[in-house]
Amino acid sequence: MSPTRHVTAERVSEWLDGDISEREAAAVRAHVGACPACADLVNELRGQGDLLRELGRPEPPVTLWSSIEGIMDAEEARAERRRWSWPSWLAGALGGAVTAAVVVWLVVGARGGVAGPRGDGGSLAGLGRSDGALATQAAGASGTGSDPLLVEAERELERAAASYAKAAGRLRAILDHEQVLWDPARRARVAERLARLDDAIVHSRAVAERDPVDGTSAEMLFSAYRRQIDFLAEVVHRGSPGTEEGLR
Amino acid sequence: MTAMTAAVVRRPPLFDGMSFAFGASTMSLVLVLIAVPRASWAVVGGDAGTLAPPVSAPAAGSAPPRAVDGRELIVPIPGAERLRVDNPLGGIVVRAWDRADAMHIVADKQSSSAEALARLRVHFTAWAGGEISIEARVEAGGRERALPLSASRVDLVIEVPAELGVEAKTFAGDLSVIGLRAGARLETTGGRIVVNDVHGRVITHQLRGGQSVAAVEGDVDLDGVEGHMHLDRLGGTRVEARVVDGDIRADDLRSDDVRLSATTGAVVLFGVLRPRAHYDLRSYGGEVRVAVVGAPAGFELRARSSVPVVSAIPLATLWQKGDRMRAVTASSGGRPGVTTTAAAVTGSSGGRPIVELSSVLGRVVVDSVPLVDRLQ
Repeated sequence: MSPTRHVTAERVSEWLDGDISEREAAAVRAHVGACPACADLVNELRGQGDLLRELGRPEPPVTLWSSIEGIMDAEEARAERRRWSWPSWLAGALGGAVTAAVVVWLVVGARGGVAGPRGDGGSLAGLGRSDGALATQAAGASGTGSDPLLVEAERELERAAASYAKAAGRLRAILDHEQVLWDPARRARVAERLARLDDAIVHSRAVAERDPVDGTSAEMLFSAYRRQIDFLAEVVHRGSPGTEEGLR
Repeated sequence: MTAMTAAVVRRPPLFDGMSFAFGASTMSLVLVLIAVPRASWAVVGGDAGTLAPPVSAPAAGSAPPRAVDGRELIVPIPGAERLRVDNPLGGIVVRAWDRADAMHIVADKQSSSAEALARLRVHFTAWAGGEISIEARVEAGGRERALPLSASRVDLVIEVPAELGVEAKTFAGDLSVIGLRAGARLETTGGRIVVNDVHGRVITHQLRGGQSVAAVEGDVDLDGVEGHMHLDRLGGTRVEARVVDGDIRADDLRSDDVRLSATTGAVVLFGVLRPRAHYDLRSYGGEVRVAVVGAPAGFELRARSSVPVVSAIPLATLWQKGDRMRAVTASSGGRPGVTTTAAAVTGSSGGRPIVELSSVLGRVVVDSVPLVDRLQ
């Protein structure tokens, strides 16, 4: 492996999980040892894994379950399901996606790292930005003029980023609903982790928008989204108190 | 191409009648597959002098006129262990062929103009350590970039020795691997993934497009955000599939550790349950269903569902609290209608397969499917 070729987040994750061969692991170890950026990524993923393992071992009071009659639970569950029927959930998901986009847009705008002259250059994942203005701006900045291939490429990358953001927004909406049942300490830990993942997305987005037609920067952004989506999906499945212990 | 500087060519250039160029460091061999029309690419190495068969250009049909071009290459790759293909401009098909020391590459390019077509490049590089890389790039802004395009594309069909490990990546193009014997690692943003007849570990990452993975003898780890997954005839030790928006349907899994997880979609498993195997099927919003094929030999069910579990197989409930329950098939020693404490059932499952089914909002269903139905 060339010293200049960074290790992908997926490869680091597989390395941490012991899912790659010893030969590949040695190459990853060597690169991480010499590359501060990849070492930071390793620390980030290790922290994420620690939190997920913690979420996978919820320990509610034993008396919680013994005090609940099965028939009452079933009725409550049915009522809950009606309350959160799919149409309302979908509306929540859409709302969550839009909210997440607006929040990150504001953060990016406030930092001023990528905002255009009118302050509108900080669009997240291309949401609300389909006029190609960013492409033109970027093309100018990188000295490529109005190359139609670059405009075309940027639109493709933006569409992909928007899809990632949409998926993350849907998961976040589910999480918002689920974590109402959690204790405050767990909610705080998840919120803290999500804030760090949000920061990583904002940072990657800022880097990508400096040159929207740089494929490597776009890959960094997609990788940041994937880490957030992976975390959200894990938390949704494993983070609800009582998910595991009754089944074991 | 910065990475060239660290590579050492592991064999002298053997190419005859083709255009090739050395990288900046003269340490890696790069073939630019744009220099010679397809019909004039020659087979090199041991079969020098044999022309590779030309491939017909794509049919024009009623679509607007498009500039097309094709390149074809057969190249010797003695000692190669791994192939990495990166094609953000189109699809990739990698399939095994019967030659152990050579690779066959077909690159088809299409674009809306001849000028754009000429800016699409495909590079072949033989790296030190046995790695081969094939990369599709577009020339823009004074350099070659790994960028996706919508009106131009490059599609790659690559035939490789079966024992070559393969890593392949596309952006919007479909990704297929067939007949490989050393596993595959596949990544795509918007293409469909198809895996068929592969030995070795299979790993996928996908944003959208759906995945079909069949006839794999090796561990399988599938990851997707949007799109349905279909798993069929998988025989590794472990099968894991995760998707956010999409259904997972699995048929005939012969693994001892099966974990299928969808967030909003359904999860369905058809097949014979293996003794001592562990099946973990989860969804947040969709239905989770296991359809046991043939006469069930007995299994332990651990379920979570907000509505009562629907089962076509008689179950003896061992434990139930809230939306969670544990049960065994009635024929495997459970006492129907008897509810015990959790502590009383924490022991070994006695070699029975364990089936964990969980859906927060959807149904949990246990079906029995006669074997004859599955054979028809």
